[in-house]
Amino acid sequence: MDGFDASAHYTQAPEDDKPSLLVLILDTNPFAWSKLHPTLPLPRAVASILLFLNAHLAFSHANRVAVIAAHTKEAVFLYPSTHPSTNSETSVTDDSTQSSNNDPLRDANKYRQFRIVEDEVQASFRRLMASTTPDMLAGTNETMMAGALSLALAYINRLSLASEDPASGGATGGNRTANGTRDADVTSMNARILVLSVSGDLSTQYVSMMNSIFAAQRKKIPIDICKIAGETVFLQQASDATRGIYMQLQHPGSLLQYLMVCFLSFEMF
Amino acid sequence: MASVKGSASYKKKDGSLLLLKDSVTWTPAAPPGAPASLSIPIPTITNLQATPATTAKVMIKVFAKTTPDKDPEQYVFTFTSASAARAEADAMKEALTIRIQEVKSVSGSATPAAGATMAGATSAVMGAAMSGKLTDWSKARLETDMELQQSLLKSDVELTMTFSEAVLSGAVTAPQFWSTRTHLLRAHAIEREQKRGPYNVLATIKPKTEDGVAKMAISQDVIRDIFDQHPLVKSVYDENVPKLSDQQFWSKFFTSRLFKELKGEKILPGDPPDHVFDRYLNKSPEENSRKRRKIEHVPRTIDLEGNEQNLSQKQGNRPDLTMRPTKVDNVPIIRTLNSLSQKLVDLVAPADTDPNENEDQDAYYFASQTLLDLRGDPEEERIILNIRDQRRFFSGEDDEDQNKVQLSAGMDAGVVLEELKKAMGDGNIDLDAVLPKDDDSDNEEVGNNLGGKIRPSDATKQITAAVYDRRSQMLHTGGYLGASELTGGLPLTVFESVQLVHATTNEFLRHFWSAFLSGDEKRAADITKLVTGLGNSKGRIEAIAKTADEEKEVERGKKKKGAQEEYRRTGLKPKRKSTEVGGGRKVVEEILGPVMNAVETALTKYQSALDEAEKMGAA
Repeated sequence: MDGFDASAHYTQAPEDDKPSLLVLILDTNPFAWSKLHPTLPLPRAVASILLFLNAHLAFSHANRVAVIAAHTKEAVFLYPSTHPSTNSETSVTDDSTQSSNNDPLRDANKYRQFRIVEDEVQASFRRLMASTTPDMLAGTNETMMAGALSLALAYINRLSLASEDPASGGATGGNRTANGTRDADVTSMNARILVLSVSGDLSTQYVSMMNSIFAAQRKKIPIDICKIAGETVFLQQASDATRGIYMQLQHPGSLLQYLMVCFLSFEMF
Repeated sequence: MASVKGSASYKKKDGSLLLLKDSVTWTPAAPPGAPASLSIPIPTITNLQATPATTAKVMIKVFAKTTPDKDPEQYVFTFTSASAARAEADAMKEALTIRIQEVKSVSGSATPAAGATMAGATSAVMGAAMSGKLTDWSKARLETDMELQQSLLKSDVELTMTFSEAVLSGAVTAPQFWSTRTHLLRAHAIEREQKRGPYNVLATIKPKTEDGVAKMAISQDVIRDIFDQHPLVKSVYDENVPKLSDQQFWSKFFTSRLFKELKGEKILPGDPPDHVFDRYLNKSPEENSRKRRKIEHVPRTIDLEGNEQNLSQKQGNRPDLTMRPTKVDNVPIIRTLNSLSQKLVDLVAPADTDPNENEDQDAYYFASQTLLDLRGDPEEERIILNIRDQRRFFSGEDDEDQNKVQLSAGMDAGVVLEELKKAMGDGNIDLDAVLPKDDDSDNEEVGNNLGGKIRPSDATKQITAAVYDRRSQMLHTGGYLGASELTGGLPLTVFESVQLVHATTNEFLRHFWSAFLSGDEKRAADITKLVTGLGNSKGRIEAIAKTADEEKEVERGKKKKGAQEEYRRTGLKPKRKSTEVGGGRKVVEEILGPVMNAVETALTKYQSALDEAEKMGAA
């Protein structure tokens, strides 16, 4: 290729130290996880994810995370949770969480931000599982990936707008008054979406998937795919179109290793 | 070939023009049944001209060279049909062009040395095209324009290779070849028609001063451009050059204050005075000004002369602020640049105006001023497509889906959910306990060794491999890799033939599918030919694979010998890796695999269609 200069990759100016936002989409299809149980039990996967999130948060105190569950019939936020009971208790306010036996704010052995994320993700995950009935699972084998992606994009958009505006900045959850009139192309945060996918078959969501992908492409939000099991063409397309990383795990048991090595750093290219 | 006919007058006598197989004949109408009085054999025609579509008179001019050393003779035919003169002329022109092209291309390919014939043919075609419409980039025109094709082939080496491989071997005819590449021809034609416009000459000249004498090399073209853009220089030149030598004139000019003034630079008191050129300083701009392009017709809509009576200056007002002349001496460059830009624009003949359209310009300006958005939205003519079952469009995933359905169907939703809930437990997970440990300690904890033993090295291997892949891809596009890495270990010659076969096979495939899917019975013969071509491609790939293997053996032998010599010399056993050789059949088949698949698919489809046709025929 004439005139194509690959050295641009190396001479790139160092990244500015904008805080980064990581939105993790976890595919929570119960069947797929049950099938994965022999190689990667769910608790271990959740623990790996939590450690990974902690690592991300540890890079900068301004870094943010969000976790979205792509469930069989719905896509819900695991963190920051919109659940009314925990929202008042566990977000940045000074109350204790309902589930933890010791007050997270008084736990001297853990960074407070880690504790909050861990507690809330697990609590909302259990809540999600508890609210799932066997009837809801009958006949479905797909996950609401497109919905989860849309949620993620909307969240990123809102947060980057909110953090631009000092008046409304700082609030992670709950704050619904996003300033829609601001120029959305100027973002004050680097945002990225990481999808942990365990199931295949998204063909019925083709149109909405593609719309999300194009939106992410336009906003320059990379979609990284960590494919633990299953096969989906659309997710490959998603990472390709948005310059994200696609990794099909050959050894799902080493999830933590994959996450830490492949998906931790921002702006690889 | 059907003959083309048109009623046309020749030398002011009515008659009819007839295109026969190899000649153009004109028969006078006056005595009915008279024999053809004029016959121009097609091979002698060197040029063809037609009046543009916009003129009222419809004429075709044919240039024919009957004897090689005489100037071509001209025959002018005026089409006289009251109703269909234009249509008849167009049909005649087109048919003639095609006939000429055919005749010439036959004789051209038979005797490639006969360049004169070729040039004649192309100029005939070009002439016809040029005098028709400049922007005629239609498919038919491009595909018959041999000169254009030649020049495109000349500028694109890869295309030339494909062309020679596909066309000169006879598998695909030239028109077939070009029919799938109209876009290339069109782009090339447009590219060729673009010309470089004039530019600010003086600004590009940077005189170098050595020992107080300006030295520079200026070409004849540059001088001409300077004279064009600055008539003042021309007059200075005319007045002074016999006295001064040419060389002296220019070297003095480029250091003079006049040069600075024309360039729009500030004249500094320190600039050396020059008795020749300083006389011309501060000449009134009118003297220096060029002739304005004469505008013959100003459309009424934009004619400012109509505003004379409204001019407030006539009532004694000062001109508007923007219209008052200011002291521009401080910023001469602005004035210079403005006047120069105007000159440059005037030097270019307008390409987008047609003198015939003058009458319509008023209407055009009126039309462009109407406010279209006040008219309301035009009715949308969209067709709503309803996709009922999107799943069907992704047939590749069908098998996967079915497996999946069975998998989840085999499991009981309730059980699955309970299991998951139990696994997650009631309280928070102890991250430390759940994660796998480095050593064998996970055997001790019964509850947590479900995932089996985990070897981090496995994952590391995959990740490193991916990183290597990525790196080599990046280096690939950057052209940083050596030849053998680029070609997958194949020798360069083999790799080149792989590329060539790939290109040709694709060419065949393209033509095959366009013919196969056209449903045109006339192309059946083409298809059979293309199918044999495809079959041959398989043989060719096989042959390349064989050479690749042979080359690999040779290379390996060489390396082994080298390694043995090294061993003899140093007494060290060479590493095994150094004798390994890449390439060979495997790589070739890997590279050409997709193409092979495509060929197979094409052949199978063809065979099944053939069987069906035979069945139909039998029934």
